Amino acid sequence: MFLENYLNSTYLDLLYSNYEEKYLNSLNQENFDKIYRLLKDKNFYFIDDIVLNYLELFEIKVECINKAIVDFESVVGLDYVNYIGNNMSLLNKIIDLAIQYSKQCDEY
Amino acid sequence: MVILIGKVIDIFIPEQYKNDVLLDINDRTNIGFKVLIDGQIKEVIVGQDELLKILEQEFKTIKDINLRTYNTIQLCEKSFVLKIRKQHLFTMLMILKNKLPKSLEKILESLNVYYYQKEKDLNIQSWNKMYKYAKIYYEHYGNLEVLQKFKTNDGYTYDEEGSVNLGQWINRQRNILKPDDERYKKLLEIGMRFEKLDELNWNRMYEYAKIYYEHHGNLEVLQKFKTNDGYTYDEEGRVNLGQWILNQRRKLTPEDEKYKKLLEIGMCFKNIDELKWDRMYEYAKIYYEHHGNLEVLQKFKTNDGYTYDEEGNINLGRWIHTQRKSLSSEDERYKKLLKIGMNFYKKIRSTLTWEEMYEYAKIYYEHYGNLQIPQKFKTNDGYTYDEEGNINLGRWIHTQRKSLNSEDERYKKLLKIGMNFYKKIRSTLTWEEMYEYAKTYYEHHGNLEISINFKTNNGYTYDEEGSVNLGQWISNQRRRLKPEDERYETLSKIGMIWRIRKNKKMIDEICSQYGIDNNKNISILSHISIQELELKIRFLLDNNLPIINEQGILHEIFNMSSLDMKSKYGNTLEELIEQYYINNEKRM
Repeated sequence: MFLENYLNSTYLDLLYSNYEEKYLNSLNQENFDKIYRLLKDKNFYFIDDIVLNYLELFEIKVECINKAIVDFESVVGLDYVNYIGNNMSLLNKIIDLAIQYSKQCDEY
Repeated sequence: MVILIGKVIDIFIPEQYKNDVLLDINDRTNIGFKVLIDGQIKEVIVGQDELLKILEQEFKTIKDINLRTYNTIQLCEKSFVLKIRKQHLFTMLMILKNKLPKSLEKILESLNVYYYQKEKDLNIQSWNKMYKYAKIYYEHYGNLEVLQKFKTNDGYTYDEEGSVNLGQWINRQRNILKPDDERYKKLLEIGMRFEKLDELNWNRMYEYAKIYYEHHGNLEVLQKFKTNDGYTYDEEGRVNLGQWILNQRRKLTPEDEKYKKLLEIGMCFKNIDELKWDRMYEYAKIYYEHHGNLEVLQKFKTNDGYTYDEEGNINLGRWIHTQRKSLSSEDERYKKLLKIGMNFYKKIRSTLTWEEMYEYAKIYYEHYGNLQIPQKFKTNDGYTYDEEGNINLGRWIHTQRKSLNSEDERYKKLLKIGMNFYKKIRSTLTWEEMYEYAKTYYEHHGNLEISINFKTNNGYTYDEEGSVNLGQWISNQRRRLKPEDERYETLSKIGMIWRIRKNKKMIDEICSQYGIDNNKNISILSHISIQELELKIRFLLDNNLPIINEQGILHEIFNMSSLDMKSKYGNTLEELIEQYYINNEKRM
């Protein structure tokens, strides 16, 4: 499992206990890595926590996530990363926004 | 070897050689013997080389040469009387000179004198006269490499009826003259080469071949190629290089020095058929590079491979036609031609069978990895668009998409080569159509463990350029559908993974234990792991902090990242694990 390359063993144990194995198997490393690097570039200092509890975020297209983060920043301000670090459920907003953007590209 | 049993009573020149004045012993002309066997005279034809062998064996017993007639050798012990024309007898004796008994040397000398006298009498060309012709030849051609059959009247023009048989004379001189002869030296002065004729010819021809190679970079010489300079074709050329190359190819073996010498100048010893095929293939390739296909009219002739020339030497059209008819798909040649756009199913479209059209579809799939073919797509080779193409593959695919149903064998065959039976523009695909793709995936893989960026054209093979983003659709369904939806049930039947998190029941139990309202805290509870929830509750309890506030909302610690929690509450998530889980385990 490629996630072993990103998380330490403590977090991996938590991850395995939180998610269905089938779901973990369906994740795509390439997409995951793109989003991981995006978050790193944007100075998210708690990416491991995001992986642990908001793994869905890593399923969405990186362009859509980026757009959602930019929009979020424009509303919350420059300190948005710290803001999210203190209230990680805000990631739900970013996921919703990103899904909306991806729906505009892929109408199903 | 012919063994003569009986008394040889005469030797005669067979009818066909009777007019040959300068009959040469080396030309293997046959000589006839009249042999008396059991009282009857029989004619036996024996090659001169065999006659020589008989003479060699019997020379020791030669007692006499009849000098009166100069045409008889008596081989006493066997009582053979060989009557032979004088000039032949002389030539034979010259060849066997070293083997003659000393007693016969004088006889031979007088025979020599006689021979030349007789030669004059018979009005045969004198040596000096022949030498003059040879000199004329040399002045014209710079050498004395004269073909044996060369006859002339003026010394340099070949004339089949010529009275001067210069070729034969030169050849004879080569055999009989010794380096200390004056004549030998005289001939040397006018370019005579006394090496064996075969050797001489071979080296001479090799030089021509070398010139050809230096000009053309290969030795792929047509059999009919004649030349005078080694590289320009001349219908009347006296050097038949093409034939010579062909002969070398046939007779030389890799062990021969000559073979190696020819290899050095680009000789290809492949058999002629292979060579011809390769050469034609090269023309076909040139045609393909120019025209993008091998749709060559049967009458197409060319000299350069791509320009039609009514008088062209290369009948490429006929060759292509023959290949199409004769090759089978197992042949290496078939595969080689396929690579340069050969269409082995050249027929008018209306007569192509379903299987033949399927083969074209397969070629398209092998080239592009899909069957997303525009309806107007025409081709001749299966993958190159050609407005004038005979094969309307696009329309055929469209028809198959409309007419086949999933029960048909043909439907399945097309599915295997990437057929997308639900090809529409993405935005117009219905839920049911997407479901069909999901079902195809399930049927192939036995699950719906599809990553978000999985794109496909056929439902089961990943295609970076695929028009159906099945992964995204599955992900969307997971978020949107609820268990009470009919579609939820439909997808469940084909292995849809709805639940991505474990322990939902246990989380519900903990919530009820600590009075946590699920609905109010859904944004946290739908993500957090059971361990993290437990740890943080214990931490809050240990530090006399409330788990929920007055509004029933969970403490902020449940929403915090590990580092933020550390800065505000002194512990990271890992430290909590260490504190509550690992230490507990150690204590136990």
